[in-house]
Amino acid sequence: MIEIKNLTKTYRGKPALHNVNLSIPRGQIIGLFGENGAGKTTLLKCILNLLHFEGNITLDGEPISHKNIAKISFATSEHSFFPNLNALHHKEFYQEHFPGFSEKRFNGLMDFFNLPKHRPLKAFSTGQKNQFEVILALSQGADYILMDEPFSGNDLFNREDFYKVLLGILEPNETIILSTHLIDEVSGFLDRVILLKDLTVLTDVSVMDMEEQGKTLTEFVKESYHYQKDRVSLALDSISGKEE
Amino acid sequence: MKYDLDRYAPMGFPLMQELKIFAWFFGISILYSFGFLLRYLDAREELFEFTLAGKKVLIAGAIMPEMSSLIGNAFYGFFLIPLLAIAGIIYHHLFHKQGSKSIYLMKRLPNPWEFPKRCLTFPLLAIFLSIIAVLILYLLYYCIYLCFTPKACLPTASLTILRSVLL
Repeated sequence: MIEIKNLTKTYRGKPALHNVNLSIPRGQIIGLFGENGAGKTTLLKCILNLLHFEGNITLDGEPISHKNIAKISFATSEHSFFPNLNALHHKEFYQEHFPGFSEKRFNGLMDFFNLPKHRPLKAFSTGQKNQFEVILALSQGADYILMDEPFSGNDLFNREDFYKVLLGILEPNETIILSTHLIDEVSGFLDRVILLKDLTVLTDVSVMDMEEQGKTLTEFVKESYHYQKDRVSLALDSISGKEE
Repeated sequence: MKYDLDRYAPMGFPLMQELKIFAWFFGISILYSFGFLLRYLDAREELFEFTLAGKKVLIAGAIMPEMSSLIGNAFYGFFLIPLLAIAGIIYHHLFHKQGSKSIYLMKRLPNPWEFPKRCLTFPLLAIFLSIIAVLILYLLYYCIYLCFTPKACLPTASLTILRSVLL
């Protein structure tokens, strides 16, 4: 389990996260939502120890360090692969550094998405780069797979394929934390929803509870953010100068 | 062999290109250090004069300048190599942010030494080799200085050695 206690992060004095507390057990698919700048990426990077922060983050009771970091993988829309190398070089590198790397899963996903194995990653399309980034994260052999806007730039069909594959290959002990804006698309397979707002956790709710309240994920998110239904019409009226 | 070297450089880094740059710097630094030999030959010529009969003889009481003054700026080229190496370390680090953020992957590897190894090895090796090259060349030039300077013209030997080491 990942335990986050009193996590606070500031960038040069400017707060990015404040007093975040979360428990993330194994075997869940969690959607992490929030407006731009809400701190989703910062939260994921703090879990990965890529940023300095105040507070505590532990994995199975131990601070996250090089000793247990292999249990967490990361797919980011910024991409973390080596652009000059091809897929096979990456496979060798991951095999060398991550003892749990699943060659079977890697090869299976590479074949499924029909990605070239001998072409440098920099020659891939944006969609292919995203797919490869996620393939690496899923193949690392991690228990916790963090994904930060992994499908930005992929077309709808591509994304739908990926969701299906994701659900098909996940083991019961694997946890996905998926940060995305594509609320409608992912709503069908989430177990839990975490909303960030004003630097902290606004809502942390299971999808089952949400459904019991008779709400869809989109409705729930809009309600949580106090979304104004007439926001657009008011704005248009204001822009067009329409008299009341 | 190439694969083995690549293990000590950033993944996907154009290592041979960088090695060529360092090799050129080393070559130019060695050539530049030959300035010592020119200064030495000039100073050695100053120890002699020609008699009316055209015979080359030692000037009475002439003393060879000390080694340190002849060395002058002969090793300045090698002093630039550490600066180049520091630039190399910075570039290796920044290379992990070019085209992607592979720095995220490098920083979350279970082996905490992998990232520093790939950023530091070759630049530190270049610094080490430049120090070794300076020591070897200094020793070689000192041997030339001792062997080819007429004994009577050598500055007090022990002092020269001491000063040379200290300077």
